[in-house]
Amino acid sequence: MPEPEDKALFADEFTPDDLPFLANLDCGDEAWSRAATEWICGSDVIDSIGKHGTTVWIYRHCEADDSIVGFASLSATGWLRWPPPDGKKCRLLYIPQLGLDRRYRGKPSSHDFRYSNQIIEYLLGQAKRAAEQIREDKPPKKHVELLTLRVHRDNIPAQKLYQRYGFKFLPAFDENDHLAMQLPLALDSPSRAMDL
Amino acid sequence: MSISSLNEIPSDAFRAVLSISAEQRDFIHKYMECSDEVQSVVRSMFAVIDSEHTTDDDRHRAFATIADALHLNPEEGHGSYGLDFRKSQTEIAAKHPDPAWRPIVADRHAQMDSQESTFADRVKAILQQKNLTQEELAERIDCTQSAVSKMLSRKSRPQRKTILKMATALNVEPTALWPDLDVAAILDSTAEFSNDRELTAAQAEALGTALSQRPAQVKTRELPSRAGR
Repeated sequence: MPEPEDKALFADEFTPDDLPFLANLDCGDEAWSRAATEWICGSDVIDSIGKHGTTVWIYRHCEADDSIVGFASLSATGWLRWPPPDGKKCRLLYIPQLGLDRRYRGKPSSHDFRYSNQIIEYLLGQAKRAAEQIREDKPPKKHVELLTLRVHRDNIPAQKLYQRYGFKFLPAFDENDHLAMQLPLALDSPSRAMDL
Repeated sequence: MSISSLNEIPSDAFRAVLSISAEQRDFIHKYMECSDEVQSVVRSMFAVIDSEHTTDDDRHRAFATIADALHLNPEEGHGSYGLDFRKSQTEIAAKHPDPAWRPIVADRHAQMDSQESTFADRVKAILQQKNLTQEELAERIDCTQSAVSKMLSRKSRPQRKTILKMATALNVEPTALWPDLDVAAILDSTAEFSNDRELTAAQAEALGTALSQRPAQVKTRELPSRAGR
């Protein structure tokens, strides 16, 4: 039987109007959770939007209630030369940060409406759309249809969540206690962005 | 070309070295003080600037990255290669295309300023308490007195590894200098992943393997928007 919490979140692009409501966001006590809270509440989100064109979404569970369930972001990495040392330059899609308020962890009990699942499934849809748009806009194959993210090596619940959605570890990109993960995006049309 | 003796170096190269300005020497000095990773970023930024395919926006960002990495400050005569990062941030705050963001961006920069100010005050207090000079601290952390002075006068933002070195040199906990250093490190690292980089052979191989996988269809979903409510 559906519970009152079993409903779709609302997703909207981050705007200055969201800032007063972010004051109550608390992603948790672990260093990576505090970093997620700090990223969206501090200057990093603005730097990321300004310097890298990052798109950020804010999730709420109710149309009337302004309190924030979580947030997600999508960007592209800087230029990578492929193949090194003299290949063309390309970018990977990148999730700079994703956060869920600690009060909404593991909720609701229904897997279909679990907030973390809704957030990531929406983000994956947006990543696919972004990759398809890039392919249309930039025919010279400047982007790789590979979605990447970084996760703290001790953040096992997040690693398991990403693995459930098909992410695999990307060796050799590990830095500062963070592991890199990747997911090749299956787009609707046949060609992949990068010739191998 | 490999050079086995000084005589083989073209005289033009000697002349070029002798004719560099004090600012250029300072730039090279700052570059040499950086870690291998930062040096690699700076080199790749110059490649971006030199490329005929680089857009003006990307070139501007490359200059800003170099200025940030090397703590260049044109107001002190160090900025011949680019713009001052802090000044550029202030300009971004003032000229942000959406006026609604301007006070917020300015406020966030004030927060950063306050963090640096707290750090500088704490280091100065410890130096005084331990009867140490900036020069002695610089020696202990293997950098120049000028670099220490810039951090303490808040003309440059210290990197996490510099804070760790300072903490060791001063025999205090890193958090005594910069609270929540772990969080700062994660945020720095998140931002660094967005920077341009030269791939290593191992990274290229890992990417090649990842891209050779058959992409799987993953579950996605649309969510309603509250826009226009």
